[in-house]
Amino acid sequence: MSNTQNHGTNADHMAASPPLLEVRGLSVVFDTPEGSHQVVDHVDLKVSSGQTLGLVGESGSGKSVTCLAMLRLLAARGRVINGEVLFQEQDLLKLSEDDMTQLRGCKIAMVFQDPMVSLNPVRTIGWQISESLHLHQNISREAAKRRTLEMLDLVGIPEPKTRYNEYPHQFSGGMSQRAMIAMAIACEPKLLIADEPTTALDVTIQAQILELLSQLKSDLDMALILITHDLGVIAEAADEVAVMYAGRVVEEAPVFDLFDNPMHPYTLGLLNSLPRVDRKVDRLNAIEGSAPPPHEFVEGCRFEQRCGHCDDSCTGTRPDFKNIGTSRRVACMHPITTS
Amino acid sequence: MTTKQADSVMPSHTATGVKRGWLSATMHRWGLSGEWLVTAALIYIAFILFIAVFGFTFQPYEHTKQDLFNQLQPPVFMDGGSWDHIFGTDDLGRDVLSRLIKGLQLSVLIGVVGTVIGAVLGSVLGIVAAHFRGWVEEVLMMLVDVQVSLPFIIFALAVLAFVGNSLTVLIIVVGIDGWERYARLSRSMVLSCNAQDYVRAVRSLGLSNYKIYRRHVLPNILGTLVVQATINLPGVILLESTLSFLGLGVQPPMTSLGQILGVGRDYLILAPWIAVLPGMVIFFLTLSIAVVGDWLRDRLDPTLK
Amino acid sequence: MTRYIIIKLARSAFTLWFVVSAVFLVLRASGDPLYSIFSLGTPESTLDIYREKWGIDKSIFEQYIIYFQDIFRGDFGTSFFDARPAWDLIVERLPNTLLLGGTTFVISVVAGVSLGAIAALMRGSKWDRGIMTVAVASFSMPSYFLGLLLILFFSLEMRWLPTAGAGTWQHLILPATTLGLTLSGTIARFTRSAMLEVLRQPYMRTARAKGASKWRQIVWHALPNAAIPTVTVIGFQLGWLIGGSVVIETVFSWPGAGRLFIVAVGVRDFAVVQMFILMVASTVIIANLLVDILYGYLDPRITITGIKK
Ligand SMILES: Nc1ncnc2c1ncn2[C@@H]1O[C@H](COP(=O)(O)OP(=O)(O)OP(=O)(O)O)[C@@H](O)[C@H]1O
Ligand SMILES: [Mg+2]
Repeated sequence: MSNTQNHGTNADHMAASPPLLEVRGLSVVFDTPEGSHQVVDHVDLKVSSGQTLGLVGESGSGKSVTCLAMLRLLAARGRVINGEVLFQEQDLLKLSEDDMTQLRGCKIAMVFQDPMVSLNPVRTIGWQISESLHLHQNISREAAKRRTLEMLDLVGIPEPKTRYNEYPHQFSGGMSQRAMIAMAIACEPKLLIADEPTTALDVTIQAQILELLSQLKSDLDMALILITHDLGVIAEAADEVAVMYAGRVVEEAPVFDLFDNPMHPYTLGLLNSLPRVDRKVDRLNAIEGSAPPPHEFVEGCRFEQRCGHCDDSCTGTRPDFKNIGTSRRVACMHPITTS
Repeated sequence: MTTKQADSVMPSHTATGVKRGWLSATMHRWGLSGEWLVTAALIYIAFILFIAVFGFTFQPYEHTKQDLFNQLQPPVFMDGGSWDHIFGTDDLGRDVLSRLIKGLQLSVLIGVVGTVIGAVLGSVLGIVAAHFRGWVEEVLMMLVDVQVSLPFIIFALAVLAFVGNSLTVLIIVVGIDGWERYARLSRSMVLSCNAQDYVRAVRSLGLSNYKIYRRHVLPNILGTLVVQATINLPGVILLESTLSFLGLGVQPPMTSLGQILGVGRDYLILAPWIAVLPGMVIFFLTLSIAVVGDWLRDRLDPTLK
Repeated sequence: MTRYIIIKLARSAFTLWFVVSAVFLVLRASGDPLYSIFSLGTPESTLDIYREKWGIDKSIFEQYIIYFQDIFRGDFGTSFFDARPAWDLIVERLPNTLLLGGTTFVISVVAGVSLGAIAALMRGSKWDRGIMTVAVASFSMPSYFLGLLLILFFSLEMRWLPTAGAGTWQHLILPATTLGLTLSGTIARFTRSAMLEVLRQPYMRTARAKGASKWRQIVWHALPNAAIPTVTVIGFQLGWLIGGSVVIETVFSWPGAGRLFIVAVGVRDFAVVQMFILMVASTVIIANLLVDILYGYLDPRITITGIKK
């Protein structure tokens, strides 16, 4: 695929200018009746234009919450208690609500996890997509409609003219996902956050959507944050990868390095649970046990219970990030070194 | 719905650890921490029930006893009032307090019995419809349509005027009100209950229908029905009071709160207390039950609307 | 779609027939009305003349057939008391009833929906609690008692507004307020819960993520969705409103059809009672049909299932 090529250009990019988006020490707390839980804990992320950052982790690891917090779209009971979100060197968390409203959908757009319920059931698809245009561009009704039809066509929705006037319940899951993408990219955002855009789609459609996203990314020179718990998707579409576990980023690396040489035991576990053609396995090695729920989060390493490499030093203190070379980091007391 | 629950759970959270007085300690024990309104409502309901049941023991006069020398005497807290008639007297010199106690007794009785009739009637019809499905269900749904198409008070007024308003007829009429809500509710609950695997399993074991409904279905839907009854009760009380106010409900010499109010309406200028006192009693009673009903619903059964 | 509508219409017609027949039977089976109309000593021979004149000498079944024949000829019977057609008696009072009911309805819907929406948007705030407390209080309040309190204060104490009757807009204020308070309380409560339900739907987050302003999110995204359940509830409240106005017209001596009904019921005036009930039931049934249609219009998902059925 075009990954290698992209990778090269990105390296140049990164050296030249600061990243488009940089998240530093982002922490999010949810106040629930059962108490307050910090579900995102000092997360650092970076992504540059034209580049795809893959965000992987098990269900509940805080991927969606991290991204919602960046856009300040958290539910009422969620609040950011720490950190900054620098977008074009501007801290989004300090912007006024009006400025933030202008930015959303225009420079940063998000595709939500569950497209079927993320579309307004009483508005036509066409209305919802052209609304994005009207919100951010001074555009006539006809022009907006024309552009919407183009977008529908672009994301591969057949018969855009008919589909324009249809309602979300008339759309299948894959089509809704495409419509969501059309809505998000209508204003040609600088950054697109796609939250599990391919989960619950069948494999061929999954591949088409990924293809579409990377096409759009290079056409519009966008940055893309791709959330998934599917490493296959990561291998196919990401340039950089951040692995999240229980509210923390535990490893960050360029995609090839990560697959070649995972350094965090959790990453290794994830990779081992993948079926691979180049290696013969009798059965899939899923990681034993399950990730702790937020109310059982500890200060020390949260993977310790399920880890084969741990010792006493893993308990109690949070594992700091170790920089490995220039491009990768890992938060583990005993990172795996190449065998 | 989870968020709704959150409302009622949150206060208990803040209250724990705080030093409590006797009242809040008791409230906490009863799961009422922070729910001052609900507590007040419960206390008021308990008070009303007490009066309704035991009021006759300290009722100062016979409620029909007239005193033509002491007509329209104001209550003790107004100018010209006396301790002889704490809440004053009415147009015939009858003691308002005694009449309130007596009226309350009948209002509560009709309200409770009426609610039970409606709940049982509606639930049984709903269960029958859900059990037999087919045309039985169709007929029931049509009856529900019929019930909904005629404002109940109009139906009740017509029936009471033409058929006669003995206490029995009144209680039955008042009881019919709201049956369709229980019927809909129990029908849909039984349908979903019957669709559950374990009920199917029990059925395939050859347990009789009666036993299945008694042991497996009823216990599941009873809570919801009770909550629904609590929510309906204020409406039933209001219905009776309205009918009596209009002169078609409880007939003299018996009396109910609405009937006292209806009499008081004619003396609004001269003796406002005759109307205002029973009105207040009814208002706070229905309000208290509504508050408790809402609280129960949020607590036990957030699925009810 | 036409099939769906035809089924609906047939069901409505059946419902109406059932209501009218049931009321007819209950009323006629309740005994001879003449004894309550004429004083006790009236000779039977005189009564017989009237029985024949009013057609109540025949069997109930015959009366029933005649009653329906008459209805289809546009004859709704004659009042035992006024000796005038029931139709005329009711229709001449309708404008007053519609004035009171219409004013109340419009104001209550506007007030109820906006207050309910405000309460939902400011959930947990002082405003929310205030609005909801008033709402619960308003429908726990016996409406006739509220009416009396208002009369006591605004008419008798302050002498600002007339106690009873109709004619000027001042006459309208108290009865409309009495009826409207309860109605808007109910509507506000339902709007609030519908709105809260909508506000936590994922598509509202999509609207925010698009960069829609707060106002736009509410008006263009939330309200059209919240309207769907709310419209049903408001439709059902129409029946309540008619029932309530019967009581309130009596309290305020408002010369409308509801008060006529109470009087007619008191003297067992068959024709008037029957016609009133027929009219109320048709109104409610038609309103429910309209709600159904409106529902399909508001919710694109419904029309489709309607067609498929
Ligand atoms: N509105 C909320 N209220 C309370 N807790 C929440 C809320 N939203 C998310 N959480 C909690 O935050 C944690 C992280 O959730 P998040 O949705 O970010 O997970 P995720 O990594 O996106 O998982 P998935 O792959 O299932 O989407 C979870 O433990 C979840 O329970
Ligand atoms: Mg997620």
